[in-house]
Parts: sequence; structure tokens; C-alpha cells
Amino acid sequence: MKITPNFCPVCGYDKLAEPPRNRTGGASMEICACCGFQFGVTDDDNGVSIDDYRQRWITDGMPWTSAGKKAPKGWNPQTQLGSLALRATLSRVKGRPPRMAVSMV
Amino acid sequence: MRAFVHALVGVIACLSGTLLHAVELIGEPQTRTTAYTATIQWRTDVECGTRLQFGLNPAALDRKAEGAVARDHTLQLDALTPATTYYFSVGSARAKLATGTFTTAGGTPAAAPQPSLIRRVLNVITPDKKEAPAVVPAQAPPTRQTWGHLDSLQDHFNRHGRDFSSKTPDDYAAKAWLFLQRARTESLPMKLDDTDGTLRVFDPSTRAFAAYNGAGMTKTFFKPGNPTYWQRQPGRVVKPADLRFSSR
Repeated sequence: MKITPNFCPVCGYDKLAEPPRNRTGGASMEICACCGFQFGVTDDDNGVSIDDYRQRWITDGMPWTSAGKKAPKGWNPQTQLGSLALRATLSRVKGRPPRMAVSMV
Repeated sequence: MRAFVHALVGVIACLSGTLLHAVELIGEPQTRTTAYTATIQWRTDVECGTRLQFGLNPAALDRKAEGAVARDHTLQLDALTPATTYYFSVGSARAKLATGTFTTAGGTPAAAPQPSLIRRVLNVITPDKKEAPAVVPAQAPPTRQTWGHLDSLQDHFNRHGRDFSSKTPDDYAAKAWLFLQRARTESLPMKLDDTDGTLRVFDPSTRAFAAYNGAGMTKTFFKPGNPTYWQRQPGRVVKPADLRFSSR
């Protein structure tokens, strides 16, 4: 799995033009073409949390929101959300995961 | 047989005359202008595309406008400079049909007020300290030179364009660029985020906010509703003289 910092923490879209926040927390002001969350505006101005927005986006049927950018070929929001969950899990793992014991029968 | 050949030739000639008919202009293009806009109208004998090129130099019409396929063609040009003569050509996708000029309203720029006697004496004593007045340009460069990620412009316009009564994405982008120019001349509050070079600008009187990348190109432009939004923005306070990029 290719890890890129330019992914949306709401929907998992990984083709943002820049990371949603820089290393000191400054927002990119970018509107996610997939879910429509605007970093630094939807959260900092409108007060909507990432989790709440994601829940609303899922309830709405996970639509592609951008009017100026087309969805990638074969785009699948469920797969994208799965990648986001995997990414979140990986980020929680500290160090190298334990190796699985393999028994020869 | 001969009669059949003649009839066939006649049909082919008739068809080719219809299909290859060149688009013709009916009358001259009509122009209506205000200080900042111009409306150009023209009519063609058949339906065709609506194309217009215009600019300040007749040899280099560097701006374009397009419309739908029609017989009656109307295009409105925005963000023009007052009291300026523009050259234009109209046509279809395949042919240039006519050229012309129009001049925006606004008259000549107001004459500078006469300086006071003391000012004139000081100018004589210290003539080398005379500075050019800071002027905000009335017209923005093409959008591709002012907006950071062009493919995001439509979404920003759809979301925030109404904050500034913008009619088109280009109009919205032009206003964002002009806001930066005004911020520099009027020393509006600015914060520079050294981490990625983002410049954030805020006008407390209109509550307009904009963010620009390290090259001075717009990232977003809107009016935040939260009263503490500007106070919570990251970055160090800077003055126009501290900015490294030149966006003019």
C-alpha cells in the first residue's frame, strides 16, 4: 500500500494536492474533491468535526462532490474508506508488528 | 443517361452549396460598456459557435470568451479596466468574422489634488524622497497566473463565490488577487506560515479572508462566519515589505 501524506482524513481520498495540515497544524484550505471537506474552513470556521462530516457523507451515499475534478477511473468510496481504516490501524501500531508463528504439519 | 448525370451533378452542387456554406455575419457587432464590463452582440446567418478574443493590443488578443452555438451571439466580459480601449475579434470555431474596438466607461482618471504650500516647499528641499503613490491595479492577470490549483477553482467558486457577488470563477479568482494587492497597499493584517509559505490575509472591515501559497497564488478566498477565525490562524504577523514574492 502506497503511503502518501496527501490523503483526506475524512474519506481516504489520497490524491489531494497537498497534505490537509502542515507539520505545525496550518490547514491547506483545500476542498477535498471526493467528500467536499475544506480543511481549515469546514472544521475551523464551521465547527464540523472530521468524524461528524464523515458520518454525514456516508449517510448521504458517499457521493463524489467536486464539480471541477472528475472521479478517478474505477473510483470506489467503500474501498477508499477501507484504506483509510487500514491506514488508521497502521498508524496506531508502534514498531514492527509481532511475527506470526508458522507451524509445519 | 445524360439527363440522369446532369440531375446528379445538380444535386451534388446543391448539397455542397448547403453543407459548405460559409458562416456570414449579419450586420456589425454591437457593444455596450460600463466601467468594468462590456457586452458584445452579433448575429450570424446560420447557427455556429460563439468565440471572441480581445485584448489591449490589436496584434495580440490574449483573452478569450466563448458561448453556446447560436445565431444570436452575446458575450459579457468582466473585470475590465475603466476608461480603456480594447480590441476584439468575433467569430465561430472555424472563422474570424469581424474585428472591432470598444472603450470602457469611467472617463479619465481624476487629477491629483494640488499639494499644499508646505508640501511643495518640502518637495523642493528634498526632491529625492518623493515616492510613487501606491495604486491597486484595476485588472487582474489571467486566472491561470493567480489561482494555485486551477482544477479546484470551480469548487471554491461554488462554495464561496457568493460571498463576493462573483458571477464566474474567473471573476472570483480576479477578486481574490485584487484583495492581495489591496492588502499590500493598505497594510491589512497578514500572517505568514513559515512551514509551507502560506500567507493568510484578513480584512476586519469586510471580514474577507484569503490564503495564498508561497508564490502569491490564491488557495482560497471567503468570509468566515466565526468571529475568532482570524485570531486562531497560524503564522507570524508580517508587513507587506516582508513578503518575498512579487505578485504584480
